[in-house]
Amino acid sequence: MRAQIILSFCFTLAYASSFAQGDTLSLKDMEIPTSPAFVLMDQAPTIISRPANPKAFAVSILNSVEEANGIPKNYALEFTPFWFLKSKNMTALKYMGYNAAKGKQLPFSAMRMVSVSGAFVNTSGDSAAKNVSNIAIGAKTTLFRLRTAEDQKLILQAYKDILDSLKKITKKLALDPNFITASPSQRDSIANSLLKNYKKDRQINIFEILNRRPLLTVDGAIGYSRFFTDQQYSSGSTGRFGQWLVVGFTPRFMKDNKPVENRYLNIYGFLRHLSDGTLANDNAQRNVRYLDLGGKIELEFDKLILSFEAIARNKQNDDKNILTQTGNTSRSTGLIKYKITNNFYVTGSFGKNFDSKNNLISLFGVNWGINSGGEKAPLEK
Amino acid sequence: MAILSAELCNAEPFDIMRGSGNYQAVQTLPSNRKTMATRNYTRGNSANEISIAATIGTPGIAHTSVALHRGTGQKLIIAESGIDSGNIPKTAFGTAPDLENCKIIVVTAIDFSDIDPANWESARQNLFTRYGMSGGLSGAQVYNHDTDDVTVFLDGQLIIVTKVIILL
Repeated sequence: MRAQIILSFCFTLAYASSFAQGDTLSLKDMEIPTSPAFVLMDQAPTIISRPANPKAFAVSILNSVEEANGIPKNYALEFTPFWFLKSKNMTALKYMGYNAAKGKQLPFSAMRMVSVSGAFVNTSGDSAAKNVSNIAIGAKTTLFRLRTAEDQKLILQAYKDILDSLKKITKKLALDPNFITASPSQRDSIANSLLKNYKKDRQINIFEILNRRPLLTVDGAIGYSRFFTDQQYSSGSTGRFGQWLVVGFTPRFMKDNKPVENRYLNIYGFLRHLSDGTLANDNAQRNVRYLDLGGKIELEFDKLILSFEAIARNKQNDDKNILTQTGNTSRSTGLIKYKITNNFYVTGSFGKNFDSKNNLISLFGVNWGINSGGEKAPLEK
Repeated sequence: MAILSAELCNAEPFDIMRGSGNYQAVQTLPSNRKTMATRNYTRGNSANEISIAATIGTPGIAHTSVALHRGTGQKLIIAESGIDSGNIPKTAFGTAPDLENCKIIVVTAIDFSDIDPANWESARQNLFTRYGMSGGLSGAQVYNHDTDDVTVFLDGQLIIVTKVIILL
């Protein structure tokens, strides 16, 4: 365990130092959402989470601190098809969830930001001799999103400010005959002269407002897994299939009638249906249905998130011939997340998982996003 | 059919076409200097109205302006996008005889401030542009953006797409 912690710590420091740069984004800006493929396997540090800023492509590695070999065993890849597809009908207002013609929010517009994930998770079977490898796929999206009227107003104001700036640029360039006959470097200098004051006039950072927690969200996810025992492909069998909903409510902290930036109190409700076909003690496959109902309370500060979640599980056996435990169980975990640097944060959680055996949750994880290009893109101040 | 005419553009095609004899304006550019590629649109001689339209598909904030440059040096904005998108509906800007020795410059600027910076590159790669001309001898022509038409500024936050269409 010591080797693992040292390795993780060194890796964290090395990564953090290599990316040390202007601290222009808050933790939630760069948060990489918990992969539903991890959540399905109950391996995520938190089960109740909402999609936030889906990256074009992201990698997650989670490691359990009780494992002593120092090498992470649980991996997830996640990508968002939206960022790989062209759409002739896409506009900024649609992307931001606003219907300009009707002057109303489009509460279902975030559904298009569905993200797809795949995970490889190693778990221990109930029998100590069993080495169980799980392959899981999952998808999640925001089904419903409602912003506060004040945030929506600020978004539109910022949008119009940017549009006015763009209008000046396109008109000047379109009317400038030198622009098209110039060399690339001359074109750059012509455009740069127009851009000198481009960002100075902005009163509002639109991304900051868009990235504020919405007042109300409903997120949905679905996942499926197969498992293999003792490295045998032929042993592959259906593991879990689940679908779940997370309802999030975020009242804003106010000070002097203004919302406090980067501080939130998030309250979540959670409902999940799960069909579980993983191994039982006698090597026979059991098929159990779970209905999970729970909640979570979360405090967000600039670089730190503290949360506690509790989920009650009702367990029903499909196959009456197999004796497996039915009834109620629960999971309760505390979670702490801390931002090391942009695009990189550490997560730790501790608590009790479902079931009566092997139910200790003690996870230490690192998450980071991989951009599709190598650009550096600090936000404007 | 639209023809990519970078060579023509390098040789100041506008001056050559109008037959002004102003060969002083024709510069021999060094081989490593690349001016913007242009497209041609044959307007013909009919009295049909020639129109332009633009469709811009992007989650970024976009604005498009279209300017008509006449051989006389006169230039004016003939169309621009509205508040809700970078699109321009089909807009007639003159008949074929009126548009002799003219060229069209379309400029679309897109600001990705509303997008997570991690996704700016993807947004740029998946930008959809379609500039359409119709009403002339060439019929309905669609021009997409080429790599050379896109200039990136502010570390990828802002891009400018320029399309030059010479009316033959």
